[in-house]
Amino acid sequence: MALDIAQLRKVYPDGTVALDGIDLLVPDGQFLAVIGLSGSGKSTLMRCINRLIEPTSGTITLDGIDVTSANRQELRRIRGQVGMIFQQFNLVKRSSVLTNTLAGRLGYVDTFLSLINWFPSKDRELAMLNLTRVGIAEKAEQRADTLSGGQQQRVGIARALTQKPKLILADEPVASLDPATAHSILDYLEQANKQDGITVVCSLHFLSLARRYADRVIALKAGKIVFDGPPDEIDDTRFKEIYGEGAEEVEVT
Amino acid sequence: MRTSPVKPEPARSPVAATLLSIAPGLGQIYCGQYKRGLAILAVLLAQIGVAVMAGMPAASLWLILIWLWNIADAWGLATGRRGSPAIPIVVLTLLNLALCWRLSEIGTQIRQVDLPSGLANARNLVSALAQPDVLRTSDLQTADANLIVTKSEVSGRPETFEKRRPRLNLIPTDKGRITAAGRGFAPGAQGAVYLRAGGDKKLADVATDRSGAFRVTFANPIRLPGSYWVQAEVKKPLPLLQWRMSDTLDQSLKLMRETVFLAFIGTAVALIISFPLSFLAARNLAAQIPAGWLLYSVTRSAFNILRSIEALIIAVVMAIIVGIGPLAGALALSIHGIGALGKLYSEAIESVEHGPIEAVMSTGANWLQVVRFGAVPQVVPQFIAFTMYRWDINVRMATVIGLVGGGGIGNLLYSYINGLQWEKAATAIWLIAIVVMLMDYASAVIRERVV
Ligand SMILES: Nc1ncnc2c1ncn2[C@@H]1O[C@H](COP(=O)(O)OP(=O)(O)OP(=O)(O)O)[C@@H](O)[C@H]1O
Ligand SMILES: [Mg+2]
Repeated sequence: MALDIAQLRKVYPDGTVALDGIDLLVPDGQFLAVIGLSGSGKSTLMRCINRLIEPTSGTITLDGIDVTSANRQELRRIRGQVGMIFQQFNLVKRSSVLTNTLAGRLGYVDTFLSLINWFPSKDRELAMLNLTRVGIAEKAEQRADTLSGGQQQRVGIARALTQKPKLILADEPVASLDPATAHSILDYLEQANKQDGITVVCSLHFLSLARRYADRVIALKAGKIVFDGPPDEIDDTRFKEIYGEGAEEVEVT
Repeated sequence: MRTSPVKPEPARSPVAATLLSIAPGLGQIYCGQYKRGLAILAVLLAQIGVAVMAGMPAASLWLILIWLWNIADAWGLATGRRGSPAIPIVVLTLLNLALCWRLSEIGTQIRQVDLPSGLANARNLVSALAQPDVLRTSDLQTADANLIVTKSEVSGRPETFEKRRPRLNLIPTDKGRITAAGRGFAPGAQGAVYLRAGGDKKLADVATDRSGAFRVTFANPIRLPGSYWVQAEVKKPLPLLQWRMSDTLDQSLKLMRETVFLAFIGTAVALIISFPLSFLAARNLAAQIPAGWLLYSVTRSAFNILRSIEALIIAVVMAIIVGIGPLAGALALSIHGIGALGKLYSEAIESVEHGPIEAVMSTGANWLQVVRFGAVPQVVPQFIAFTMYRWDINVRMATVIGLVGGGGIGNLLYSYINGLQWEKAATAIWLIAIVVMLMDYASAVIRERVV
């Protein structure tokens, strides 16, 4: 899915300008990393794309469909095609892993049947398939809060994949995980990108991770894009521009 | 149950599971879901028990719905899906609601609370608390006779139409005196002979001998000619093993049950109405729908208003509208409960984690689905705790409402106190205290377990 953002601004009610005129074109099938200091606007950008946050001005289009002017029903249809992965995993703790994963089908199934927790068997199969894919099928009936952080994020990925998305928005998906686990999670995202051709927009704290996984990196600073290019173009000077003087790059291996 | 890891299980045959589940629960046990199977069986049996106890065994027919669900569930489990228990929960709630409704429909009268007062009465009641009327330790044996008085003579005729063993003979003696001779009573027991005419008049105390007979002489109490009923009453002490509940305790238990059911109805109706509304009365969820703030303000204010009116006051108002009786009490508890539960529910909803709700929203789910999958699972334990707590409070409230004519144990207590029957009143008071304590304890245990 191609993403086209034009002149996007977000001003929070308290006056904070979180996004200040973002122009961004992401072609179908790209793995885009979004980097930047804390508070630079990464989360705000991600959440504007599926309108979990209402943009103040500007337009966002997905495969030519205008997200910013969509009505509620259209917005739900768009959201169904956009998977989202969160730093805090955001699983429903008291629900089973399978129920959490099946939530990915909610945009597609009959409302009444879903309310009594009835999902078509092909949806259940799809959810199980995605759980198998991220290696936790055997935990399907377990409560989500009995899982480790890494496992929970894998459920988060399975939930997003179960949407059969054309775009995945991942907001610092590995920021609260250890480096080894972080790699395994990003490997799944890479797989979704390379094998299934899903466009991925992923914000990351560590440049080294962006270097390893992304086709392209944009850097945000105070709500503006200050770098846009392939990861290997970010040299020391650029790095200092993005993260400020005195910053050192750390490797995540 | 949900937290146990699923072991790789051998494939179960859906046909076998379905057939086995004709015996409720067996199909689930066959699929390895022991707890689920046993729970289904236990719930069905318990519910039939309740229906029989409530005197409406035919109501058990509704359990066929659960039986059908049980079969579908067994089939589902065998094909690898675990269904939701929503159907049995709904059936059980409605069924018990109906049972309780029927049970508490006992006509009672409202009246002004006008109880005997004063220090002496209080002392009587307090001392009666030490000896409540709870046990029947003796059996009453009676024998009747007619005392026939004409102008010229006096004669006695024993009642013999009943083939009871104790007999009473009245033998006129000289000087206008009468000898009462009884036999066939318990040996070595105490009793008395009464004239049952208008108010009872005790003629003489008696004590039976070792053969169970007594003989006592007293002055003829009769002036006017006629036929008079004389009765001998002997208290036969019961051996320890044959001690029984006293009639007072029996009656109190029956009306206590009515009160608990009245409280159940109040709680269940409040639950059914406030549950869906509470999601609109929660700011975080109402914000997700058009005109949500309006719905929020309306439902929240409604809850606050209902909650702030005492149930007792609503009971009086309801008594005027729908007439006096348990219906007024149940409505009062329901209406007040909607406000009280609704406020607690909606505050619980407002305090849920927002992350999961956002995540469900981001999948394209609509509002109902967001509520069902993002919010409900997070609040279930608190909702159960609040509802138990409410029921617990309602038992107390129903007692008080009963005092002003809403039926139940409060009503009985009123009539005992009014009749100066202190030992009986003490029985009712003890029972109320014990039940309230038990409910308190049970709701605390359940709250601890689910949260
Ligand atoms: N709800 C809000 N109300 C007001 N200001 C906000 C709100 N959310 C974010 N902001 C502000 O907007 C700016 C951008 O925040 P954002 O969360 O997008 O940054 P971020 O790059 O995701 O940071 P981090 O790496 O810490 O997650 C920050 O200055 C933040 O304080
Ligand atoms: Mg962020």
